[in-house]
Amino acid sequence: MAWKTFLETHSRLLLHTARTLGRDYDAAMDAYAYLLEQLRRDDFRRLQAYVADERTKFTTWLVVVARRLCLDHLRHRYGRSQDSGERSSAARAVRRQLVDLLAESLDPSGRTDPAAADNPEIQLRTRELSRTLAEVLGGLEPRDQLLLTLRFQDGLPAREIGQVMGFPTPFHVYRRLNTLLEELRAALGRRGVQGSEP
Amino acid sequence: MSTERRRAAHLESGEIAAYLDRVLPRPDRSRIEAHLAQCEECRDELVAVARLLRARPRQPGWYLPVGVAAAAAAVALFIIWPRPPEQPGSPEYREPAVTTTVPPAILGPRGVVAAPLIFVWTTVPHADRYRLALFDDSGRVVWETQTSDTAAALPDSIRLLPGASYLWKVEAQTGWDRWVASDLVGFSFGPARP
Repeated sequence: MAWKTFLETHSRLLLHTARTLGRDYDAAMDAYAYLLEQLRRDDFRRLQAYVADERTKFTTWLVVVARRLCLDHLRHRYGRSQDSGERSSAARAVRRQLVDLLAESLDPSGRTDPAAADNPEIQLRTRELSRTLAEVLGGLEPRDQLLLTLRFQDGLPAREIGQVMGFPTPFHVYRRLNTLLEELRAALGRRGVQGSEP
Repeated sequence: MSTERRRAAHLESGEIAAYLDRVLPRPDRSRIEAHLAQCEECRDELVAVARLLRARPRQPGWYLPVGVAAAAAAVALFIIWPRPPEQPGSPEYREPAVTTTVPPAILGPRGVVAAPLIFVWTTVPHADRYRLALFDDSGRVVWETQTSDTAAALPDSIRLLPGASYLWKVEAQTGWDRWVASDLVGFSFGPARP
């Protein structure tokens, strides 16, 4: 009876999760069936684990668990190429690291010029800037490090960053980013990195 | 190897969910943010879950044409059929229908205020839970809490900076995963009252 009520309430959410991850209708339905089987398994062990932290909304927690189960199933069935996380990692591999992206944002001089790649002076300055910037980034609060990573390394739009991190509006995200970039410029300037002051 | 086993060094389901629901105390949130800043796999999961939740299907509702037709039929019935006389003392079995959702209105603090801070808002019909968020002027979440009451006191562990500006809002849960939010209201924190 409780299982029936659970399905009536949450089956749309579970189907939505399976459909989002499945490559086609059959794969999604397959994942959905696997998901239900796993949730029922061992006397609903997974569902009973929710009681551990009742402050969290059940639906949020359920989506995390359901997504993990679906990924397990799809990896097992179709191989690891189904993993959207790994696909995005592959795409991200062609991007540069956060430090390089920030370094360009803080000191764009010469970096857009193709000739700069062969200029030893600019290369030296770039290395110096990147090394110092990595040190400065390490001293930031975790929340600010995450904000910069989501924006510059993962390339998320401000609106989505705001939703994930709990900023009230995208405007607040931009404002915090601007403040952080100013702070980074100032910190680099204090450490004597040339060209880092606005 | 299952996702659960491979994820031993990563965030747990409850941690991802709690971070997205903003129910973690600051030290836990910082610990999770530190991990997220370094761990691509957990960041991917966080963003993917947030997207799933945003795009999730809503509970089935009435289509507008059906609703309009039903309303028209109800009006016609009401006009054509005389109402039977009410039985004296007949019990009411139903609550009045909810026709609109009213957001909570912020009562205070607003403007310049002093400690102790108590956040107060108006009741929302049929809301059984309220979620309050306090932000500093850079948009950083300073404090979050959930309550079934229409007031919440700022805990002593949260220290506001004198003269600094803050924003806050409250959301009321009016149904299954349905929240209605107040406007963002600002205040600045003055010296403590004697």
